[in-house]
Amino acid sequence: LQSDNELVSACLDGSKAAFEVLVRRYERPVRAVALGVLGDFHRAEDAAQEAFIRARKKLPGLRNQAAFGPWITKIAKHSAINIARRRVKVATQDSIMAEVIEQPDGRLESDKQRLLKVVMKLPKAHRHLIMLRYFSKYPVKELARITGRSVGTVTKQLSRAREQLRTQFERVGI
Amino acid sequence: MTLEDKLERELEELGSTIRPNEKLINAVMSRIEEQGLAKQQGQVLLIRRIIMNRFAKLAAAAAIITVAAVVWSIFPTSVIPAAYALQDTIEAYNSIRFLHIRETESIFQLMRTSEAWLQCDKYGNVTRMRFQADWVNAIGPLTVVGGLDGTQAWLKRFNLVLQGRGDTSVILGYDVLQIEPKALFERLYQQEQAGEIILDINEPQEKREPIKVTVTYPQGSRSENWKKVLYVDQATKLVTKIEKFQFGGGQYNHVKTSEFSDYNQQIDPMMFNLTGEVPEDAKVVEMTDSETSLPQGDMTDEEFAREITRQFFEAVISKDFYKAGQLSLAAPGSMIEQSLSGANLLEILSIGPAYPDPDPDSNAMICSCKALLEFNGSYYELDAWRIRIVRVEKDPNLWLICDTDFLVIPAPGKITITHDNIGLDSVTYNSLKPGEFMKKWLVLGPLPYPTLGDIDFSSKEGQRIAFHTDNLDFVNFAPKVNIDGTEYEWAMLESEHGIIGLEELSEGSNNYTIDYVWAQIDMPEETKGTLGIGSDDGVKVWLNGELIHKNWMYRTVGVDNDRVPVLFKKGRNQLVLKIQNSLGYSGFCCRLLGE
Repeated sequence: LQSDNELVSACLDGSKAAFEVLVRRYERPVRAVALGVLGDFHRAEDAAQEAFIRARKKLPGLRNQAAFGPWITKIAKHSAINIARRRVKVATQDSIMAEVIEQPDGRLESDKQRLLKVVMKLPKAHRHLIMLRYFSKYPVKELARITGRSVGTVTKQLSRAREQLRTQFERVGI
Repeated sequence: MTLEDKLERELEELGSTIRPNEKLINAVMSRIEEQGLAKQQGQVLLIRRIIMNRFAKLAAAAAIITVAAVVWSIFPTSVIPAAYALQDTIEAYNSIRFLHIRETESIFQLMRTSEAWLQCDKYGNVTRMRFQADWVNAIGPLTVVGGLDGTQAWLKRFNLVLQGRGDTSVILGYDVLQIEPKALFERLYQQEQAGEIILDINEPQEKREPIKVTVTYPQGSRSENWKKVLYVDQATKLVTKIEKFQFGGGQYNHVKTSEFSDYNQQIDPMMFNLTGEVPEDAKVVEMTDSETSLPQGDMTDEEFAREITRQFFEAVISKDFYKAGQLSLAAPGSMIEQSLSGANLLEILSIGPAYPDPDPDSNAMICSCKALLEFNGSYYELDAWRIRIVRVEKDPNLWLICDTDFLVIPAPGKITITHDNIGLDSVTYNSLKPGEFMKKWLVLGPLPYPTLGDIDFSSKEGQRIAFHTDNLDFVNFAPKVNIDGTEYEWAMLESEHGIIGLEELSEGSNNYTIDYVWAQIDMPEETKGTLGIGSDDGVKVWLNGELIHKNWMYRTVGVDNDRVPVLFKKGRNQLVLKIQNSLGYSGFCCRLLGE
């Protein structure tokens, strides 16, 4: 298993395979971020696709290669917001409602949507780990490898992230 | 199960909802292939390696750089490492003598434009200028001309010329330094050195493309929600455009665009004076700095801003227009009196807290004030919701009011609310008399905007969606309603006046809220007519379940804002209005106007 840092370097050396590994690693977190904004699986996929293409174009500008994860999720959020805006612009006033509020298919259940929102509000580093752990389903040992940190550090950070989530939960009463 | 276990399980479940999507991965990879993105990196790579190996052996690096330079000359499209610095622009302005600036400002849905012409000395500093705006709050059209020796401001609406000795920056609170590009870059440079801003410089490979300097502000600073983008011409290093944005509702919203053009194109000296523009009968008033404003003493900036606001409004109430003028714009009292157009300010209702203006280019303090106003026998509320107070440049101990954004709304009458025995019988009208306001309604609200993922409802999109979302049966009345999982009850509202203020129903802020009001009308026969409806802000109208009118507007209540053709059936009619409020006051009025 290669770290994000190594994979980004390999991409910049022209390796298509390295980018595919990154896409596989992050496609679920990226879709989760977009889902958090758009609340709709189909549109979240469009946003995710757009985010990866944009990330590939902008990859040479990424200063801290180890920060690929938080970086791509930020791009995903912007892509999702753009898609939300575009839809609002092209749809007529009444159809926006149908699209965004009333359409029951392809939408995340409300309690999950709420949980996702709380996850999105975590600090960047914690959110990143939670996403890789629960969305991309990496065990802690592999998380350590991906982020280039020790297993101990990752365990501690994950536990802190969960602690924060719990506090949030208690606060909002989920 | 402990909360930890529950959380762990819910996270696992949420993660499992988002299953791996092989199709998406393939789609991404084939688009990357199609667009040739993987290949494109070859040229970029060489430069990256130089940067990454800069701590390696110096000689080796030098050799690679030499190779890179050769490759570069063969492939002119390869990436140039960013070399631009703010000082380049500051220096470039030393050769500028003339310049034309055009500014467009967004105020709610309105766009206001202004233009400026600058003449500079051999060091690039402004010596003469002309500024003109099509509209300035409370002043109207404004032209300011002048230079180091003195300034004149022409206020067409008042047929008045204000003359001041000294720098243009002290007249009418207008600050030439806020638009002058050299000063602006010097300030940015200082802010960068002090770590007060975050700069992102994007220097494109294509020479015709401008260098894009993005300025953001650290979290926790007063301008943390603002962003400025400066476009700098690569060849001349002069700025061509500046855009300013404020974050809100999940996106950056446009605040102002300044475009810079006609560099070093000689400006006719006549542009820098008012000769021939001002009517002969215009009043000319000499302004002196020494008499303006109050001394701050040991008050904090916040306390002092509130004090100036209080003293200004008290001066207007006691008709001491001279003092009011001195506190506001250092303007003559006659101008303040004239701007009231015969209205009488009676009483200060409240003065808001003061705080530093979040606009990164402003050094002002912001305060607000509500006051009661009488005009032609009717009472109004003056809501000066943004009063800018600035330090007088020449005397840091003196401040004055330089700009006020305000609304005037009819003062609502007394409202009685009851919660017992709620039913349509209590709001049934036996026919409607044309011209008479409907003062009895059932009211449901204030309701919060519906929740919608991450879309912020203070954004335009969010507000539009809130306007179009209704989860109510408009035909069959029920005393309790469940909306978004919360139960709400209708209440009975009776108003003394025709204009009904809804903000009184809110315990806290009534920003971004919705109210529905319902009345039942018994008509002896089918009646055709027009409903005169006023609302603050948006309004929707249903008659017997049918949506007969909608107007999504940002406005204050006015009598008969909207005239809606209506056909009442014989017998019982159900009339429901939805009032959507974005910021501040909320209210409505409704009456039949006859056919």
